Amino acid sequence: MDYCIVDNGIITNIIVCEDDATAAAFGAVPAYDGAAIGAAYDPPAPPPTVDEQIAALEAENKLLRAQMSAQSDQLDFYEDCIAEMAAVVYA
Amino acid sequence: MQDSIILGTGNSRYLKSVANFLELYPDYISFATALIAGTLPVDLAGINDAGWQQIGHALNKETLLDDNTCDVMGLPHTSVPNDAFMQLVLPDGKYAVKVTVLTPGGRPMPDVTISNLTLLNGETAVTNVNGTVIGFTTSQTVTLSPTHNYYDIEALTPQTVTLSAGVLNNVTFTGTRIADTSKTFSASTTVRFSADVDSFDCSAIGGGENGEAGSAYYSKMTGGAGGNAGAIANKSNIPNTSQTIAITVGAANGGTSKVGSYITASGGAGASGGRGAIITGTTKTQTSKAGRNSSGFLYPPTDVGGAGGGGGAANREISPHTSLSESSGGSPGGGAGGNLSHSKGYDGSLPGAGGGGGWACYNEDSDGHDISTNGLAGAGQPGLCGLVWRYKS
Repeated sequence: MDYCIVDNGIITNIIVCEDDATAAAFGAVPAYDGAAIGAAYDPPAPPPTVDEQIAALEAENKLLRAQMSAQSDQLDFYEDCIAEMAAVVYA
Repeated sequence: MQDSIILGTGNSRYLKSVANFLELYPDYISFATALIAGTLPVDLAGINDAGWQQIGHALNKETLLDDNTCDVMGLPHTSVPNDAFMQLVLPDGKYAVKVTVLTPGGRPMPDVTISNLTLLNGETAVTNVNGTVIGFTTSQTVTLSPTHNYYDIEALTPQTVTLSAGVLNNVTFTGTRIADTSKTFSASTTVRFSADVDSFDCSAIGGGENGEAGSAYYSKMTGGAGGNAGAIANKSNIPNTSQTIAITVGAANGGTSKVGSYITASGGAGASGGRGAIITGTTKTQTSKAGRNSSGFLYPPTDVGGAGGGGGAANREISPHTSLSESSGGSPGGGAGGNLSHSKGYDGSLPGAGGGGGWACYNEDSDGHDISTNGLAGAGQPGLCGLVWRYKS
């Protein structure tokens, strides 16, 4: 597995290590597709954990419920307006 | 406890001799003769308080180890301070062991961790520069397992020993050498030789570069260039100091390999990759070239990769159809360039080898649609490090 030696944010070497522990002894960090010597070390963000995904879905669910409640209130208001206009027109 | 301080006035102590002293030594010559012969009878007859600034504590049974302390410690009243020290360090149910760890040549092995023993302060037992450590255990029968990181010594076999109480038990481990006296490393690691090793040689090759992909447009088809091989470095007769040596193996596509601070082999800085073929329109602008060969990895002698060969190119859309062949990789193990049947450049096949360049072709399908084939680059190979060592006589 490949690991990067990084100095001041710049990849100075890419080396082969058998495991993370050995890499750590060399001060190396995991490589990634596109890592190149001389470039900035900029690994992609790790995928969200299950807990993070659940938290994001809960937040989204809460927002959608609030939006639906607001739309329901707005619909009630429109119905009241129509009923009031009907009362004036057919009075 | 208080020290004594003499005033230095010459009157701190009294001397006393026998009653017939003047008869025995009537003149100075007889007195001096007896003194020189060690036969002059004298008692130290106590101290004179007037000659002291401060009278210190006496070193006697009361101050060193009195009967009360002996009772508390469970010692007989005839015990001496050393008995009390031993009782403190080795109370009932605690055993002391001196472990010595030696190389096959009888030299000390420092920094060896001994399991199931602890130091007096509870820390892990580790041998010192003399290859020894004194540790403690509460088990009369204990299995001692030494763990070391000397590359040239096999793992030490544990010993199960039955210990004696109240004394310093001695246990000695002697290592055995591994069968090899050379090794190549395809992944980074650390190596430490024991004091038995006299000197060593080392070699390294950096990672080989990937080739380049082919590039095909309507008017120009360019086969990818082969990747350079890694540079090779060697050094011989390095005295062993038993310090840890970092073996760094460079990754493919340019990683640098190192052996400690002794040698550095840059990635992609060795044998040159071959150029790719170029066809401009229907004109054969440039033929491809083979990758250069690599050799010279000496310690231990190992075949390492050559450079990648250049990719071929073809124009099969414009009449007359034109093509230029790919070239081989450098020997040994350099990846060949890509071609009509294998558009991707071939990967290198030995440590430090360069990958071949990709095939480039402009064509059209059965419906008359133009097709560009940009062959992928062949992959370079990671580097390699090697060590050869010799033992002291």
